[in-house]
Amino acid sequence: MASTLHLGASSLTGKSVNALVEEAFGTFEFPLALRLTNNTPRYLVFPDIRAELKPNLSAPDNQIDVTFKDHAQLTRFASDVDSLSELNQWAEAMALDALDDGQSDEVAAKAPAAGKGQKKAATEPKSPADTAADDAANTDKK
Amino acid sequence: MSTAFNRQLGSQSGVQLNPLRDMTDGYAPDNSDQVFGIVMRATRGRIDKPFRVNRGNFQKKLGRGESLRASALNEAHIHVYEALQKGAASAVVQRLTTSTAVLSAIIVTQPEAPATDLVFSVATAVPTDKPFLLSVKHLECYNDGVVIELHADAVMENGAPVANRLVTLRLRDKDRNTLYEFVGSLNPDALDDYQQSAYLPDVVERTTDNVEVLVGGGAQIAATSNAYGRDTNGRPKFAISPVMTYFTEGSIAYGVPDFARARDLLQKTEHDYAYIVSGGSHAPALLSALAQLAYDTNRQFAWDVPGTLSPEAAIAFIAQLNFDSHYCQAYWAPLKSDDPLGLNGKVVLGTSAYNVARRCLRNAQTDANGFAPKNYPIAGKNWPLDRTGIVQIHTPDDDLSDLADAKINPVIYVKYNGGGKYVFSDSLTCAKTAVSMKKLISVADMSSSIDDWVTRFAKEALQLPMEVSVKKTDAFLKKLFKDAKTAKWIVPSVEMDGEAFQYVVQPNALRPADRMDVSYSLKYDGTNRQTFVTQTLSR
Repeated sequence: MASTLHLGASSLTGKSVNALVEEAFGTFEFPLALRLTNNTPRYLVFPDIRAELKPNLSAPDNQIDVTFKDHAQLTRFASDVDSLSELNQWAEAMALDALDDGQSDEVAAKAPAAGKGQKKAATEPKSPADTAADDAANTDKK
Repeated sequence: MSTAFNRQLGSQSGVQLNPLRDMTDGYAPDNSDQVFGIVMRATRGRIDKPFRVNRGNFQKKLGRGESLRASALNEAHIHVYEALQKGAASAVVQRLTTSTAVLSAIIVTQPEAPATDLVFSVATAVPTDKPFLLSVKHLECYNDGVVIELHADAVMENGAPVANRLVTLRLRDKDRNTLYEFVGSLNPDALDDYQQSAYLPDVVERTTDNVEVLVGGGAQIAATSNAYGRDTNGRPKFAISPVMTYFTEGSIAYGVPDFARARDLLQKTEHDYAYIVSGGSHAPALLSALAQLAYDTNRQFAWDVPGTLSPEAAIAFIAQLNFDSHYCQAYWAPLKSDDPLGLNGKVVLGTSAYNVARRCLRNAQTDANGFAPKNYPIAGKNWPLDRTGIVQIHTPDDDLSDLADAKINPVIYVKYNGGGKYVFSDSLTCAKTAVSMKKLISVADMSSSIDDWVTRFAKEALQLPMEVSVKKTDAFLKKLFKDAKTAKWIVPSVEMDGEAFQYVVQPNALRPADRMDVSYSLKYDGTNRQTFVTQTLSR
C-alpha cells in the first residue's frame, strides 16, 4: 500500500472531498487500482464503479478492489461517498488504499512501502476496448 | 372622436366608462404537467441557465449522443430522446458542468492593408490592444463548435466600391445547419426603416439571448475583403470560418457543489415542469439533490435504481439513500434492450423518464373541467414498455415482496390473459409507510396537482381586501373540489360523513388583519395493487 485516504461527510470533517482526493491521489496515474474499505454499518452500492461493499460488521469482507479509469470517475465516487455520509452523518465512511501498481514510478519511489498486502491488485490497466467489452472489468469482488 | 364616454369625468356633464370588471377569472390547466425537468451531461446547451428542448430541436439543442461505453453519464441523453418521443411535450434541461468549463468568444479580425481574408480566432477575452471586427459569443456552448459566416454587400461611390458597415452574420453548426442569421450594421448610430437601432449587437439582442456580439471600434468590411460583394456568378461572397471550437467542457468529475448549483438553477428557472427525472444517474449526490428539489417545488421525482444490480443490491442501493418521501418514485428495470438512438448495442437503460413521458401523454387528455386522469397510475397492463429487443437479466420472484418493502417498482415481464408484456409492475412512492395513501404514486400526483392549483390561486388572492379574498378563495375551492370529484380523483369518505372533500377558508384567528387560513381534506381514490382471489368448491 502506498497511500490511504479516509472519506466522510465534508461537513463533519471540514474538508472538501475533492481536495482530499487531489491531495492523496493527484499525482497518481490512471487507471488507478484502489482498495475500498466500508467503515459503515450499511451495505453500500456504487453502480458507477460496479462496487458492492458489505458493512463493517462483516470485516474483513467489507473490502473490494476497484480500478478507477480516470480522475473524473474517482472524484465522482468521492462525491457519492460524501453525499451518503452527509445523509447518514458518517465522519469516516470509507477508506481508500492505493495498491502499489496504481501510481507513477516517480511517486512510487517516494512513497513508503507500508500496508498489509493481503490482496493482489485487482486488474491491470486495460484498453478502452477491453473495458467496454467486459462489463465487470473494473471490479474484483472479494 | 365619436366615443360617447370619458375615462375620467370632471365637473362637466357626460358619461364615464369604468374599466371592465372581470369576475370570470379562474384556474385553467396549462401543459406544464406534460413537461419534465432534468439535470444532465450534454454536449450542447447553455450552462448558465436551464433551457427547453422538444422533439423538433432535440439534436440542435443537446447535440448528438455519445456512447455509454465512453461514459455512463451519456445515458441521460437517451432518456430525454426517448421521453420526448413517447409523450413528453418538452424537457427543461440544466446542463451539468464543472468549474473547469471555459466559454470563449470567436474573434473576427480584418488584416491591415491589404484587407483580404478575414481571420477567425478564439479568445477568452475580447482583445483590448488591437483592432477587431467582431466578437461573437455563442452561449449555447457546443462542444463540437460552430462555423461563422460574414458578408457585406458592395456599395459603390463615384463608380468605385467602398467599405460597407452593413453585414450579414450567420452561425452554423459543424454540419453547416444554420443556427442564426442576423443582418445589422457595424455603425452604432445606424437605424432601420422603422427608426429602430440597426446596430448589429442590438439586432442580435432583439432576436435571441443565446448569442452576444461585440463590434470593434470603427469596424467596417473593406472592399478588398473576402466577405465583400459578390463572386463571378453573382452570389454573395461569405468569409467562412473553419469549425471554431470555442467551448471546452472540461472535467466531468462532478462534485456535490456542481450538483447543488444545477439543482438551484432548475428550481429558479422560469420554465415550468411537473416532473423531475434522474436521467439514469447513479450518483447519490445528484439523486439527493433532486429529491430535495422535488420537495421544494412540489414536483414528482422519478428515478432509476440501476437495472444492472441484483434485487439484493438494488434494495441496498435505495436503502443507502434513505429517501422517505412521496415525491420520490423509484424504478428498477433489469432489462437489456436496443438503444433507441442506435449508438450502443443492447444496453440496460433506466425507465423512469419513459414512465414520466407516459404520464405526460396521459395528462394531455383532460375532461371538460381540465382534469387529467391522474387517478390512473402509469403501471400495469395498459402501459407496457415498448422498447425493442428486450431481454430480462434478473428474474426476481421471491424478492418481489422485498422490493415492494424497499419501495422499488420493478419493470419486468408479466403475463396477462392476452399475453406477456414488460410493464411497470407497481406504483409505489418512496414514502416509508405500509398504510398511508402517500405510498401511492397516483395520490402523490393528484395531491401535488391540487396543491399547485390552490397555491397559485392563493397568490392571485394576495393583496385583496380580506373579505374579498376569503370569498374568492372559497368560490375557487368549491369549484375545484367539485371538479375533482367529477374527475373521480376524490371519492366519498366515511370520516367526512360521505363527503369527498371538506375545506375551510377564513381569516386567521390570531392575525385577522393580514393572514388568511386555507385548509382542506380530500379523500383520494386509491389504486388496487393487490387482489386476493379465493375459489370455493360447492356441491
